[in-house]
Amino acid sequence: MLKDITLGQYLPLNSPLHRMDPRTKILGLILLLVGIFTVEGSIGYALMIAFTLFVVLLSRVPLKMYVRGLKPLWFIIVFTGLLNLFLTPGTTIYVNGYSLHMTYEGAVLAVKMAIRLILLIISSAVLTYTTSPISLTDGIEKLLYPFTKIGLPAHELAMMMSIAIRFIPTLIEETEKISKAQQARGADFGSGGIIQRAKALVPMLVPLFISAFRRADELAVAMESRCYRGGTGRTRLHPIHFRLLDLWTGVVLVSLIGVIIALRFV
Amino acid sequence: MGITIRNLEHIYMEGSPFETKSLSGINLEIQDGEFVGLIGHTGSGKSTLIQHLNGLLKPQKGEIIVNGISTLDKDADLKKLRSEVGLVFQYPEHQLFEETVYKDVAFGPKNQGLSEDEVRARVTEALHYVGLDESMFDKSPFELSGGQKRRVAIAGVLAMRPKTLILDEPAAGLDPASREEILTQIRALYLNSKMTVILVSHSMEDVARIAGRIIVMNQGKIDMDGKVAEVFGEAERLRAMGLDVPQVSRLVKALKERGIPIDENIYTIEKAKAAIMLLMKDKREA
Repeated sequence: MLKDITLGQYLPLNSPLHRMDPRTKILGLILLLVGIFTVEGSIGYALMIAFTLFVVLLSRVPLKMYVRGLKPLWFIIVFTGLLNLFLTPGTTIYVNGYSLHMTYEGAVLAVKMAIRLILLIISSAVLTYTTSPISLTDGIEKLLYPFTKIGLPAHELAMMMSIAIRFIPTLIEETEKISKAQQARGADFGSGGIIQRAKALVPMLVPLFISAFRRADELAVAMESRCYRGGTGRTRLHPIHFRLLDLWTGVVLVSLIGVIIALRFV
Repeated sequence: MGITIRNLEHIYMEGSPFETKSLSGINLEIQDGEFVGLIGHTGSGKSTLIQHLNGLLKPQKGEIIVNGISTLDKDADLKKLRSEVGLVFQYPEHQLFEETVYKDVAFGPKNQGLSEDEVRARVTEALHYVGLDESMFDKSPFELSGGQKRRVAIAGVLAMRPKTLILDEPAAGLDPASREEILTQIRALYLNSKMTVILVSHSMEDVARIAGRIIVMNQGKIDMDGKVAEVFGEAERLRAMGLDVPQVSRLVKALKERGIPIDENIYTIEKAKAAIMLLMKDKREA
């Protein structure tokens, strides 16, 4: 049921990617996405696929997990594939009874788009599988830091993100508990028309909101009583470091994307 | 009719890396009118077990028959089952949602499809049971004290007039006075009605005082099942599970070991007091 939702699907393993600075991984993902959307030609695609496979293997995350991550998107991949296949103008290679033209260009485009979508999902999954939510927000905070000069509250944004991520499982658990308690009193969430169903949610939503506000209040008091006053002057238990590994990753990524762009435009 | 559980098994998050066996090989028979204390430390499977008794969780293996209804049966009338087996969750005050105390307690009986008059009669009865009078009916449940909120929430289940009442840690997090009050009310309720009561707790004192039978759970299994004296007689075994016997019975045992002739099967402060007073009196007279 609700607990099947996986958000922040971090897997605590030990791989070079897990040890990497989150900033490298975030910027690396952005670079890779640029690559995925500019790549052209078979050499370019081969390079991108090979690199993604290399990263996947390097992450030591079981391949099964990546396949599972793709599952909810099969429909979109197949659907866009079909649209491309039949709606791209070009040399017709097959016509069916309903005068739908399958074109050679369409077939090529369909395969390309499918590869791009799959690479996109897998490379984002690499980031979430290898980076804990906490170090992800730490990384974002550090990356946004230069913008504090123009008034962007980088620390506050990152803190809000961490708190939100932290409370998702708690709220899911709470929802299940309250819904069970109301079901024990004969509440029925599954039947009746739309209006009736919406009304049936009241006994669940009211306690849920109350508890969310209570938790927020308690958390605020707990933070204040430990002298939390925002980011200024705060040090970290686990400071993030840009190391040699990160430097090399950067060099490899920048040259890869350079080659991809060169292949496309030169 | 009672409750029959056969070979019940429950695996939490089956097929994921977080898979844990929370119940295995549970066989249990609870007769009508029993007062059962269910004890075990956190994670022993108590809460999972009780959620099976009103069909909130379905047996993954094995079966449960409550008052002749098998919860596995596809046509089982779950609404009927849930009004027969009242389940009060831990911290039940967190589920209050209505504008007034009256309306909140009426939620259960209204879901049972009762007439307005019948609902009123049941709500009034339930609130009286837990010691709240008419002056409270129109208050918002959110302006009550912690103990009062807890009692309103318990009344919300009682108003459905269940045949079996299950309470999960009803006294947790309350001050000693409210704690005492709630346990006394549960005891009175049990004596005045023909309800079967299952009290889940990790406070040995509470259970020893009011339950007739004690079931001890450990690591998803039933480890002991018997009368209060039988279970608390095995202090070592309980301690090995991270549980303990009531403080009073430790005191009584220590006295016994020093050669003082006191009955070993004493589990409540009142009885211990009476026994010690008697001993003192004998000594003075001797």
